[in-house]
Amino acid sequence: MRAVRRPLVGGILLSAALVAALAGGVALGSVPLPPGAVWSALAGSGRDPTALTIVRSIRLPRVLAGALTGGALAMSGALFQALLRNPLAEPYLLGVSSGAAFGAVAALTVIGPALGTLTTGGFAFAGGLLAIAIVFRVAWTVGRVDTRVLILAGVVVSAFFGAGVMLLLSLARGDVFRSAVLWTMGSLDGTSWNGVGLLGLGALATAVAGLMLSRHLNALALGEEAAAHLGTPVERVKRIAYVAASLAAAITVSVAGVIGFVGLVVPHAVRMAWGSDHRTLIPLSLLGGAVTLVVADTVAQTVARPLVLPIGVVTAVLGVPLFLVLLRRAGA
Amino acid sequence: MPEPAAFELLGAGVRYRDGEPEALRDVDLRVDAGGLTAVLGPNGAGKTTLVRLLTGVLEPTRGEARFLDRPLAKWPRRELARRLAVVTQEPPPAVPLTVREYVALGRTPYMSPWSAPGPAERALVARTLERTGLGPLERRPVSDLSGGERQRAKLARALAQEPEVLVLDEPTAHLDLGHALWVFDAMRELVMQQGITVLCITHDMNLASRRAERLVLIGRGRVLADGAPRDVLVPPVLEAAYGGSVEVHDLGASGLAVLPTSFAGPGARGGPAV
Amino acid sequence: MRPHAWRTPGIVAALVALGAATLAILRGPGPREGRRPGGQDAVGPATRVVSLIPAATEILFAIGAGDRLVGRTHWGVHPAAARAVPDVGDGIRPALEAIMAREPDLVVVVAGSDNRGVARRLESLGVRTLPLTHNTLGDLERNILALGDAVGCGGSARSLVRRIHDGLADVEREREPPPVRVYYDVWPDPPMTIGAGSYLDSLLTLAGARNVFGDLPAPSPQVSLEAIVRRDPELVLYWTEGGGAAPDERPGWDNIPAIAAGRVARIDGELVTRLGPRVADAARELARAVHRGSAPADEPSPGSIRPPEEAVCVP
Repeated sequence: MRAVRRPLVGGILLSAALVAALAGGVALGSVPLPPGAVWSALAGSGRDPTALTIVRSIRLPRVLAGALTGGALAMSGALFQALLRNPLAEPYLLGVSSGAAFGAVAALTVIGPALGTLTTGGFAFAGGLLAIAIVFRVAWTVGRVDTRVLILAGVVVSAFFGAGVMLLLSLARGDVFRSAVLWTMGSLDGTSWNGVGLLGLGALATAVAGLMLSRHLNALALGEEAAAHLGTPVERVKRIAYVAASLAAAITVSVAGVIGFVGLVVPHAVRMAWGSDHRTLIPLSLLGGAVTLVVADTVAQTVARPLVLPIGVVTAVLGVPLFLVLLRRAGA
Repeated sequence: MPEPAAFELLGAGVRYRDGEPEALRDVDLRVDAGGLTAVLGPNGAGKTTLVRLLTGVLEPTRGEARFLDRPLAKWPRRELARRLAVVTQEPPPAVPLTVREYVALGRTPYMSPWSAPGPAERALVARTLERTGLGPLERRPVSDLSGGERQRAKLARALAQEPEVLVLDEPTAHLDLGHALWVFDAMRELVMQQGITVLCITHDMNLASRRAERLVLIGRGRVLADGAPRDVLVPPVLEAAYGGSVEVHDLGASGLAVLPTSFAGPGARGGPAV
Repeated sequence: MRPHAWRTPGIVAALVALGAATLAILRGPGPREGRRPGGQDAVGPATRVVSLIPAATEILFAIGAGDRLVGRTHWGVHPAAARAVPDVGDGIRPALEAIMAREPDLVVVVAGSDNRGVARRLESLGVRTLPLTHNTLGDLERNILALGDAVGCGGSARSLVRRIHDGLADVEREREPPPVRVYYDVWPDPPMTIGAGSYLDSLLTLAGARNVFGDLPAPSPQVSLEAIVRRDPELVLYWTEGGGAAPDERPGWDNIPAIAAGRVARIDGELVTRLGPRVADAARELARAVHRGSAPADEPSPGSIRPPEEAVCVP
């Protein structure tokens, strides 16, 4: 029998953890700075312009971007898991990551050199949207979305764009190749305040959609027909939720690259601790995802100074053993 | 002013796909408020289609389907869910739920995005759990329940919707004698004590004859018989519907016992009306 | 339920608008944040340079500006003196903090690489960047001069360019027709070689050889064993610094007549695979291998450029 702790307590815990993680992320980075310098840089009273630049212009946007990215991915994962009634669902299921990777790699290897420098992020976003559009076009028939067709289409479209990425990489020059591969592994380093703003919009939209739909997402756990009999406008809910969740994933990929694992595992961990009611699952996933990614980013920045590891690697390497421990304890 | 009929089907027909024969043809059916109506018929006769029509899942391709004197298509989903509760076969829930959470989902039509359930809501769920005998099980995961207990939980969830009308699709399938009787008794009690209109599809002729005041026999997409149990469960009617031959024994207060003595397959001459 | 059409035009329009917004947001450099000493407002030679291109590091030392380097890439460190310069991480995906901590007034970056991190961000932080494309001999000359101007060592840059020209001209003069048909082995599995897009192809031509895959435009195309056999090179050049077996020890490669006949020559990979100040030496090394087919000698041949430690900056 599960012991269910009060979600409110969970919210307080996670919020405190997030504050600590943000503080840690600002204090630590690939360049060691004494805490006093960090503090005075934040307060604006520092006299060291280098520390000021590093803390305010580089680290602060980066940790905020990390928090928003993690939160958006976790909420997106929670939404997909509710819509597909499948615990293996995650934000990239419908081909967003492959499409975005294809867009980004195309920009780096083919389009960029032809047209001068262009935003990889914008192309990644376009690629992600293209993948989603294809998947929905296939699965949308006569006013309803067939879930099985959706999943299959997602798998196939992912494979297609993945093959496209490999084709482009095989024809690319050495440094371009490296650049493209590193992009797909995810990085928050160098995120601008504009990027933070975009992520904030995406996370906000997803949170609002998720919270407004939470009672219907709860009902969907019983199956689409039963939910309809409980008054849920099933197709409308699916439409809004799929769009919100996919957009959140597409925005995070275009700003931060492909960061796996967070969208799949954080909602599960939250569910195990505080239950499946989406009214609490959505906000707690937001917090949990934010904490996870900020910590992972800090580790990525500090563990191999001055090299910065790709975040996707850190989330997997750290997250998997932790999650396995959680699973064992839940099963015991 | 006369009470509105719970359900009314006027010349209703349903065709699933062009070129196929209609699954339901020319059905005129009026179910008044109050009372327990049982719907029977061979497999594939159109019973499930009928329930889908009545609950708004399908729109009739011909004719009209009305609920409480309003066409079903015009009912906003939320309002409909506050008046009509449906109990069907369902896959197990996709996430682990306790019995209390499961039953509390019945309150979905009353929830809004910006309100958490208050003490009144929680009391109602608790009362529903008591009435269906699920009090001691309220913290158990639904997946741990036996078939009979799960059926009780489904019924409790439907009741949490505070419906005026309750529709059940084969509620006693897979249940043992005791639980089957419990279901029919519960339906009877809902009608008598709470004035809820109940309509259920069932294969259980004995229990239907004991507890329902009206039986509707569907065959070949049409209503073949409609009336009191003793008028419907007679060998000529049953043999026309199911094919083969039957014996019917009147057991007085214990209802009617229908025993098949021989069977001809569907499509055979004299076979069931599918 | 009535099936109703998905409001396609509306949704498509909304998505296009969102995409355009994203492009716009992620495109432009953000507002200038912070003022850096010697930032974009400053004119004049750079005195604190971070080089994210290993070849640029080498060039800066070769023109006598090595003392102006305050940061270098983690990989590809040359010459030996560069090891003393602080490491700022990967060149393609550098650690922004590490770069900024060096307080540079100029950062040399690879042109056209992923924009998300490097050049745009640095510019928005007020740091001058010098994007360089560094693939051909023409690029080398341009970049030496550009770097020379940027650090105020234009004179030594120009003389370096002259010495490289002279060195290459010497090699070209000494070549004997007809050109030797050569296969240049870059990688064994899958077989990779050089094409017309690589500076090595030009060097081979100067050295009196002809790259049998010189008709392929890509810089490092992937070919097949079959194709190599069909083009029947007279000589196979290889280098071992990258690991891997020599061509005559690889199974199946003796199908190539040149290998079966033992016409393979090892070249100094460390020297030849760099497009930098020692490119004339690289050409000479290729010429040696092509004409005599022997192992590399130990001392630097006469006529090589002055070793970088002795370079002096001349404005």
